[in-house]
Amino acid sequence: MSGAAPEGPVLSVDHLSVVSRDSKKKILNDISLDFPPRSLTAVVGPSGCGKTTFVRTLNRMTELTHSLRVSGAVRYLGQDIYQSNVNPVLVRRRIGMVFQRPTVFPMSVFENAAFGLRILHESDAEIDRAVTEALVRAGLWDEVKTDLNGSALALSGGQQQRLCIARALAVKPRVLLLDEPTSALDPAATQRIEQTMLRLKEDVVLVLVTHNVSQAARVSDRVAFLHSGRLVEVGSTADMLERPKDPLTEQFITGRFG
Amino acid sequence: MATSTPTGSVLPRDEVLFDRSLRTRWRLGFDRWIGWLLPLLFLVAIVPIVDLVYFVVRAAYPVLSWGNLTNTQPYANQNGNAVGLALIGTFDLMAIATAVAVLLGLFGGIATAEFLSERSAGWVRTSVNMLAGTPSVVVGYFGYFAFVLYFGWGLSLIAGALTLSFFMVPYIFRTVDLAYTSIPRPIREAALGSGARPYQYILKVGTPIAFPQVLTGVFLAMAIGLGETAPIVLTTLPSLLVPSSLNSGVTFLTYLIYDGFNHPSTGPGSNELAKAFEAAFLVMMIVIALNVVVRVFAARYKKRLEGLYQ
Amino acid sequence: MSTPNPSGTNESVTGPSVQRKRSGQIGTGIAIAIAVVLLLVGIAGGYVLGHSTSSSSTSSSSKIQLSELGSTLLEPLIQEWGPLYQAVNPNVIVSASGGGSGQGQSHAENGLVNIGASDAYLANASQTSLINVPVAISAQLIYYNLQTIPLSEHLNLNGTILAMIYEGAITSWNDPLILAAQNATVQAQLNNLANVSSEGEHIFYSIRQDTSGDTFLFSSLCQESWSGWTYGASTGAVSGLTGPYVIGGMGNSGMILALEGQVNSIGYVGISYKSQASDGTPALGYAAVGDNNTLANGTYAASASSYLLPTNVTISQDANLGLQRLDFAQYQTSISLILGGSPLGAINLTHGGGGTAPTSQYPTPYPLVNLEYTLIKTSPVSGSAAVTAAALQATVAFLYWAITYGNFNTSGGPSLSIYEVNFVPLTAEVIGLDSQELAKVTW
Repeated sequence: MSGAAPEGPVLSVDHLSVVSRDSKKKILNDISLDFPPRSLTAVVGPSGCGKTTFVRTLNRMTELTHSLRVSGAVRYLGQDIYQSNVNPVLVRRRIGMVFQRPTVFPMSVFENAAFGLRILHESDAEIDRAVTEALVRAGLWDEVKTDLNGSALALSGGQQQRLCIARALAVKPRVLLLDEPTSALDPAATQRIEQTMLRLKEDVVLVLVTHNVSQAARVSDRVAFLHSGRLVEVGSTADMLERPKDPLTEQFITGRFG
Repeated sequence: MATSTPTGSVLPRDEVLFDRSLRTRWRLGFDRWIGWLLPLLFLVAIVPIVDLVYFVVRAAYPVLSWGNLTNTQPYANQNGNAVGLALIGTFDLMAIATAVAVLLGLFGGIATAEFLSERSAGWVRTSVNMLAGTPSVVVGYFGYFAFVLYFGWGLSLIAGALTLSFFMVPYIFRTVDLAYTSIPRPIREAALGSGARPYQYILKVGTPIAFPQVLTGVFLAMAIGLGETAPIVLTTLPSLLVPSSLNSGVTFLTYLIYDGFNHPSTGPGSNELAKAFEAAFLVMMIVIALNVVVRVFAARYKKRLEGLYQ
Repeated sequence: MSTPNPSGTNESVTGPSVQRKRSGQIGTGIAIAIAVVLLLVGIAGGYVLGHSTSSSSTSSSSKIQLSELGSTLLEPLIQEWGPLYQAVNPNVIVSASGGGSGQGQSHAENGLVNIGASDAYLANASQTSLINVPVAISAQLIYYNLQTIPLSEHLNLNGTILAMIYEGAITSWNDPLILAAQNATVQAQLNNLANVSSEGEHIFYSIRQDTSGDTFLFSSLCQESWSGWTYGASTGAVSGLTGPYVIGGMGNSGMILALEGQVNSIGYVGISYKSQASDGTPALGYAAVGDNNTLANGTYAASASSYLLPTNVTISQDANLGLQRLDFAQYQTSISLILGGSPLGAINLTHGGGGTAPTSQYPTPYPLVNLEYTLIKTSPVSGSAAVTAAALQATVAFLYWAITYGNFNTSGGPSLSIYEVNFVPLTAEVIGLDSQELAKVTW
């Protein structure tokens, strides 16, 4: 990965709407939002507000569910990823994703981290180097370095989740989407993931979906508040949490619904 | 109002935990008795099975010998108690049928689970269920008219094996389909999200997870196929020689069972019924062996996959 | 965008060397591999086992296998003949299998087997390039399970009585019509039945639940003998009967089991199953079957000559008697299995003319007699793996052997194989016809 950091936003969302083909219900309604370099944006909102769908539109993961229709544009470095001649596989390599529960594969720790690289047919030396680096960046290296060939399934939940982060990082994406990555973890494991996120946002654009306002407060630079498929408000974390403009935002942040 | 408990202390009525009502006593008694009743019912179910096995083993015992199992002399197999030809024939039929069925079931199942839209997948699943529900003789007639007559292969090993594979495909298809669809969605998405193409996901991630289920399906399908008789009788020709080509006739174990009960014992040294039981015993043993292998494999792989998507 | 390592982790990166090993990974594509391995092991293993154990005495490649399929009545006889013929021609193996007469006919027609076996004459055989070659004479026995009749005695029965029993017109064993046909001893034994049997004197009659040449033979006799017979004559004539006094089974073995399981029962069984019926528990008795025109007149008298036990002599006589009325070359309609012995003549015997009552030449024909036919092609079938020129030549040679050495021993009596399956050897007349038919085969 080379080249100077781009001038504008790495990822920009432009009038994005998502409609369910089955129920004709609008899941996302006309959302526009930019994700600048070196930022961690927390997408918060009550259950069912569409935040998970939103984050999945950002790397065309919605296509894996046949019943959604996406309109509007999502631009990665200025390229609309929904253009017909865009290769979704390349999109997902540049925009990685981590899920609510750890999704390690039934392979060794090393092979899990190397998964994306093997697909790219990288050289063994490059894979060794990149896997090690990814494990270090994900904050897992010290715990697994003596047993890289052990089964990844033997790791604890928190370790598995960090391994998933390492796997996403190994292909050096510019953007990493995190869909409630700590919702299945205990507080100690959550803390380690949050530390990892804070380190990562220096060189990867992070988009964190969370229903947990205090987590957003701890790690994010910016908060976007979604409600009923609409982007209600977006702003710096401090502004949003302390001086919300919209009454809905204030109600959510103060815990009156959620 | 206060009442006394068996320990003698006096408590307000609301706080007393003892309940001597008939209904409660009956319920507690039922809970206790059902614990005895269920194992008893299990015994009722298991006794006929044990009796059946004993019956078959006892009837087959007089003619069970290594010599009979390995003897492939033509008339020793037809008129004596040798079953070597039938063992080889069963093996050949099963091998070809399994290979075909695994190929069709695996590709069909994976395609349905991973590539087809929900609507087309539904159609495919319905058709496969219909195939599974088709009476075996109907499938046998289909094999007879299609393979034996229309394709002109005659009553042959290949016609019998392909007909047999019809019975195994639905089982393999269904387990493969289920195995791949039951892989947690996020695992699939994680693989695709890491930049894998669908086939790469299937080979590197999906198959290792689905493997134990698929293998179970294959082995159970083999057990199912092993018991089929009528459709293979309709499409093969009993032979007293080891099959030398796909067009050869073939004798198999369930044919001996079917044939043994169909005509009286002939001449000295021959006991068709004992031979039928000998064949039945062998079929039983192979089915049991298949099931044991399945259990051992499944248990081993289940252990290996512990911790997945926790 | 460059990704600098977080400080302080450089040593650990370069420290332990990373080993790449796929030990934790479950191999991919194993399922496909297993299928392929099964295929290879199955076929290869099968051949190795087969050849290693059989090559010592025989080489399967130089052998011709003749496949026989069809009538389960004929199957045991062909099974007996196979090894005997091997002594004559070591390179020919004859495999015998069942499946029923219908399958024997259709497989022979389609050129799927070398020899189709049938209990019934195949009409218009020439249309499918087949010939009928009878290879043995069989008979049908009327068996009963009656506790008071010792095996040394035999009931006297005829087509009329049998038809009336199956139609429900005669329901008890001491019916005057039945008693009138018996000698004094049997009459007393039948009258005593009510005191001994748990079922009183009521008759249970047994049917073949499958379609069968045996049912055709039996129902033909009934149809000819009694005008009240409503079921017609066919392979399934009585197979659907139900009722409190109807019992039944699949195949001859099933018929015997049904009879053994029900006292006061009666049923029809092919003669090949004679030992099975006689050796069972309880041992079943069988009837002398007779000419019955006198019964119709109501002037019945039991006489030794009108009721015949199935013996080589009575069966052969009936076969020849029928043969006189049967022109194999011209006969085109469905032919009765019954060759003689009944007063009205065999049904459908339009060509031979007239009845098949005993003649002076054949005075004692047993009425339920049947030829066992083999069906073979008159020329090789192109595209058939079974009916090749070499196989057809071997088939004809085998059948010549079968109708001669297969039927008779060196002193001219029934051969051991014919004797063991309770068949009767062919008569000279049938052998003459067979030779004519076999001469039509070319290869």
